[in-house]
Amino acid sequence: MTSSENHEAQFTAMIREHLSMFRGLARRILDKPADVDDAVQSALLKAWQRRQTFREEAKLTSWVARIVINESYNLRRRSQQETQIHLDGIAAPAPEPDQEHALRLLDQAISQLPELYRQTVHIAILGGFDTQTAAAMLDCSPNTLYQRIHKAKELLREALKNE
Amino acid sequence: MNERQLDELLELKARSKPVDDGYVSTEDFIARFRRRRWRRQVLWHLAGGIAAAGIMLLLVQAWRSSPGPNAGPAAQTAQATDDFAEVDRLAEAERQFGKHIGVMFVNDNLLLYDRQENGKARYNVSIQLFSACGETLASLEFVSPGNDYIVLEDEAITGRIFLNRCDDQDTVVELNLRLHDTRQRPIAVTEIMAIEQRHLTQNLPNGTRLRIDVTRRDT
Repeated sequence: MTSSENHEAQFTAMIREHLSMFRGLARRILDKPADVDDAVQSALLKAWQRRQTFREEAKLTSWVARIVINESYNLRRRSQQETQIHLDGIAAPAPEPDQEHALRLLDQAISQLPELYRQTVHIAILGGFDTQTAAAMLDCSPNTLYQRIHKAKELLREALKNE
Repeated sequence: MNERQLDELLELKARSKPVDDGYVSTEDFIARFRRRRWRRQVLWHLAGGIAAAGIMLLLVQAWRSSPGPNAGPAAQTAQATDDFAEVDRLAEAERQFGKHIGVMFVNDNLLLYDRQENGKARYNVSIQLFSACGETLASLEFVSPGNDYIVLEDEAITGRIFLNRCDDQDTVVELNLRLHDTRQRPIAVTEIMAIEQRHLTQNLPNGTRLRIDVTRRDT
């Protein structure tokens, strides 16, 4: 089997095994399934370009997971800009229920976190992974992960302090 | 908002996953990935060809207007301008590829990479490695918005360069590079510096030396 065929097989196996997890991460940031798949596809394309540097499948999967989060935010930012252009001149939307409003503010606060903490929130807090898995995905020790979670929550509380 | 309220809100967010339907099957997803990959490969080859032609054209222009050995002061001024144009090859490559694609010169070879974000490039970064007798072992130049992940697979140098903006102010440059000195002994470079430090000179094993220069772009 040539190196290229090896990579092809590695990627196909990774997609089959982890597509649902990649989609799960993107789904907390994006609403439409088409956008979710776009974000995952973009992350996989980036990983494909760097396929030579990942010898271990686990590292590649973790890296793709982190890039899925970044790509999802990029996509969301672009679509929000487009929506803003369309909404200009249209009357303000009806008020949201309290819970939805709070979740929207939380989303906004998470999106404004530095990348490192944003990934920590999505993988370690919202992702539902156990500590060891989350730490491995974020390429850090469990201790560092706890510190990052603590700092991420501190930053979120600061951002939401007036809410 | 207190700690408990935030935890409750995060818990709510974790539970409020949208409905898991409307997705294409895994096999369709894989087929789509292959198609996108192929299209992208074709585009990159085309873009690489266009850029190489553009840079070649610039070099030919610079060579044509270079002064002869007996040239006077006016010609020397022209030479200085050409030198400047050559030094600014990064800006030219950046202009050709746009802000979505990162450009880098590795020992004068153009390397393209995906940007992590599409922001305007804020820093010019130059990384040089010198042998014990001052000979340049490797030279890397690139522009960055402050958030980049570059993987090098050049014949002369491999590894990763990671620029990560920690907050609005602080950007960290992390190097993890592998290369060989003039006697083919392996050298590993693992350095971290804050970008605002601007300059870093570091002695490495075998008498080799690392120099990093960062220039912030004002415009």
